Amino acid sequence: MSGDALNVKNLSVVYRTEAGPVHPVTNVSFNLRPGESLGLVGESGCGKTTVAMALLRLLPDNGEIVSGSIDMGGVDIVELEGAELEDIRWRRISMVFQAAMNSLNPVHKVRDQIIEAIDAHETVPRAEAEERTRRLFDLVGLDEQLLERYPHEYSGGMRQRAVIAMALACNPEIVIADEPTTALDVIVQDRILKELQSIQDQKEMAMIYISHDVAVIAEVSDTIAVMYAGQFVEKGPSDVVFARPIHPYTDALLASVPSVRGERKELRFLAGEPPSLSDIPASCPFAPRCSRALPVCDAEIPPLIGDDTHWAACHNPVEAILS
Amino acid sequence: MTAYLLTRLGQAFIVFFIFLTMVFFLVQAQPGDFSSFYALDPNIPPESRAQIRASFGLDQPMWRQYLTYVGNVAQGDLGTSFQLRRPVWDVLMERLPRTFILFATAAVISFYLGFVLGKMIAWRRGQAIEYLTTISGVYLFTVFTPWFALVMMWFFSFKLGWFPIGKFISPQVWRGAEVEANSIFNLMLLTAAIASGILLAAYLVMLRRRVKRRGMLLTGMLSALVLASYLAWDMSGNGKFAWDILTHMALPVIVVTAISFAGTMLLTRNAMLETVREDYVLAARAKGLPDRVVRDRHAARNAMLPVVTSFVFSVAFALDGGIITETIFSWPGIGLTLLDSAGSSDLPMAVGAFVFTGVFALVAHFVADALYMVLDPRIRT
Amino acid sequence: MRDNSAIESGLRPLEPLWRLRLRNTARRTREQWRLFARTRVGLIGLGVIAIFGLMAVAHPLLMRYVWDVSTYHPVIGFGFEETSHPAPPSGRHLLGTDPVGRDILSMLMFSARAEFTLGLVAAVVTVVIGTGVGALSAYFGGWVDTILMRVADIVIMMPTIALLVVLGSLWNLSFLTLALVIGGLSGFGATAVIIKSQALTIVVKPYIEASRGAGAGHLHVIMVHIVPNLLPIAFLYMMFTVTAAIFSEAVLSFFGILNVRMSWGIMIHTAQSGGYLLSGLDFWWLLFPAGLSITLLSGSFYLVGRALDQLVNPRLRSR
Repeated sequence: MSGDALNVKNLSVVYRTEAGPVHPVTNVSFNLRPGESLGLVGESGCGKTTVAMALLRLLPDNGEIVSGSIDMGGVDIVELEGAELEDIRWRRISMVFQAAMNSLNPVHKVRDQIIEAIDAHETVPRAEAEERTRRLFDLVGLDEQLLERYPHEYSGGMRQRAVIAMALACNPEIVIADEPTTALDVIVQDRILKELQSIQDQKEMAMIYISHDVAVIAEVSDTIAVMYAGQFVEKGPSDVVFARPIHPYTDALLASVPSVRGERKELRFLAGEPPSLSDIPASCPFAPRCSRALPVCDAEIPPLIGDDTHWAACHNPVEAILS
Repeated sequence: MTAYLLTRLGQAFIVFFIFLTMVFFLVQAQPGDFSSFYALDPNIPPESRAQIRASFGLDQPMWRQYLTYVGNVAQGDLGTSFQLRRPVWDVLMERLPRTFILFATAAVISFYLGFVLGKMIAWRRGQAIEYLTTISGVYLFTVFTPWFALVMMWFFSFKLGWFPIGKFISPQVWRGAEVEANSIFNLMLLTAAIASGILLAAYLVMLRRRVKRRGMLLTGMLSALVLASYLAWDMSGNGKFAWDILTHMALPVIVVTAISFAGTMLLTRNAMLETVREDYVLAARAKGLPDRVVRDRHAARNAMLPVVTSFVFSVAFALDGGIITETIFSWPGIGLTLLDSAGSSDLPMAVGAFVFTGVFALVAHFVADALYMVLDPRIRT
Repeated sequence: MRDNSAIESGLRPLEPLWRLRLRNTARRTREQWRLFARTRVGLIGLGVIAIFGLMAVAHPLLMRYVWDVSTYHPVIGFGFEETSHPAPPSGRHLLGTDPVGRDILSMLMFSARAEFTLGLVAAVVTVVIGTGVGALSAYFGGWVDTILMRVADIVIMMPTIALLVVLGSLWNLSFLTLALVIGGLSGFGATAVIIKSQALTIVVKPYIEASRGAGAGHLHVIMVHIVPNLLPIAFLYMMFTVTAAIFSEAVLSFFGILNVRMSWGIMIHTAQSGGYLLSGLDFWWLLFPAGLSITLLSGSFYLVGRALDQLVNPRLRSR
């Protein structure tokens, strides 16, 4: 589809370790329209962050994209090297890192860290760059005075905002937010998410939210993709997925979230651990933990069921899908 | 900021007094009484002996002696050398510049070299070059310094004839000279101080004005300054004397640098291996910064902090190396003085030189603290 | 350690505590060895140390069964068969002889044993003092900590050689006193500071307070709960002390300050006083065997120390 901000096809990543290869991401495909927001949700260690790192081509030295393409406005990022790659980063796709606390360098002023990103991609006079940092701080609701300060003088919420301001420095088309609010208290978390959404609307950016927290994803994303063992197991419009999940894993995830005001419901908790990523079975990876598992689940790769907008990979879906 | 420095200064003074106390009791605790030990020595002229008694106040109670000693040291009175029959302080003041220049040059070069190499091998993790540099770095760090100095001297001075063999000056050059070696040397020091002052000022101005390509500009300025001072010395007619001292200085500086840079290199490597895993380094790469900028401005800039802290260790190490190198190259600095006087039982001189070495280390310690404060904003506020 | 405290807090041990501890230690040692063997640098160091160890062990045997004492004695021997000394390496004297006719190889091997003894004594002293100072400083805190750490400051910034030179002019330094002084310096200085920072992480553990609550005295808590946890890191710093000890001994012997009959430093000192210093490669056997031995042995202990450092400090492990 042309006009997509991002088009990922059959992306697979392998980490080569001493204990053999590990497959953190297997055969992941999705696309993102300008202004759309996609939520990636799943337990920790299911490959969400690896997807983000692959999009920025920031995998560790032992990690490698073994197949697939990442098309960004006609350019396949997988094929890029060196300076071309540096040019794409931040200018077209930027990121709000998981640990905002640590993603600011303690020895440089916050302003310099933002200007450095601008300088790397554009030739703008110093005064203009400074003006832009002031506007960015305005946008995320931080006092301009703070620009002159060092990261250790910021509170946790302030740092998170500064990191968001930094991510917007070069007006990227796509912003990845990896657990953007996990370390914050609930009130600050909510406020920052709201601000992020309004900024997204203003700037028409596409966003990818990554979180283990279904509640956060539900609040911010148009589309949701549920990841399990490095694969997408269900994907569809958020409201539809939350209302009528197809995959038992999605169902279990939703059931583990308490709702504060809504109906009283029984909280279930998901027993067992995600499978080892070094040894992905040629069957449903969720089968060992699934309450609806059938004999076929352990034997065959589950089929894709549903339609283009809302699908899942399952032998025995929760919701009886018409078709 | 000032408060931090003042606290550090206060601590340095406390440490200095504990140090003096230790030295005092060390001397007190030596076998045999101080006076009887030296009363029997026919080499000591009577006037010196009287001075020892006066400066140490041997007939007085211990605490009195201690106070006198500390008071004297505070006033720069370290007694009189038995051997040279001059005040210890004067001898030390004459030799301090020579040790200082040897040590300071070697410290600056070895810190720079060790840091640059250390960050490079850490950045190229896991390649053969890393193993090679690490292992050779370790053996260079632990090499038996006198032996290493000798091999260097044999190779560069004897075999290749590039440098003179030891000593401060060559007498044949200076025959009939109207100037003293010391005054020439002090003038050289002055030249070096002015040049480094200009460079430092230029660097700071460039930093403030955010000038790009600072490295190139500084290199250019450095060459210009070297050329200018060469011309100035040449015109003054003292050029050949300065050159003579310079050639005598070169090899000792190279040797001290070689043995102390390895420590900095290994430490920088370790510190880098920790900082490259930090999220801000990942963030810097995500920002699309060039590899070299990520390495220098983000990873290495933070790796520098523990390296500067450990400068204290390397000060002690370099001073030790200095003693050995000065001895082997007969370079008449404080280290050689210390060893000579210790060997000939010139106690006031030996203890004086030792106290002075301690002060030297203490000052370097303080400078490292101040430098750390400049480098780490978390301490400044 | 955690399972030990569980045992003490009520579960009846099925076997004596010491045997349990021994087994734990053995298991941990095997695990550590596996990790250590992966650091190539450490293995290289260990190999070099083993070679010198063999030399040290072999010397008395050779003196007893192979070598003639009057010719090969490391201190008073004399190679009668050679026409002039120093004689170059030959079948009889594999590394030649020194200016006064002694066999270089025999001196080299004899000294290796002395270096090991020196290093061991210094290292043990370091561990005892360093662990003691570190544990006391962390456990009691307050003024005990202040005083001990200020002393550590002084010791750290003190140039060791300068201090030893002065000490040598005041006292008659023998091998043993040298070992004690170096061990003491290292123990009161850097080792104490590092062990203290390790001890600080232990004194806040709940089992310390539990033990105090159960009525244990300070000494008991320190000896039973704190010190055993400090030993791995203390062992690591032993290696660096050995490096310092071998190095300092050689420098002092070379300066002629140490009261020792034979050592690698003395060998170089002998060559120096004989005027062979700048002979370069012509009389290589006078300078190179001893100089290289000092460098290699102290360097190898340092390498082993670094490799152990990677075990104790996992952040340094390769990614």
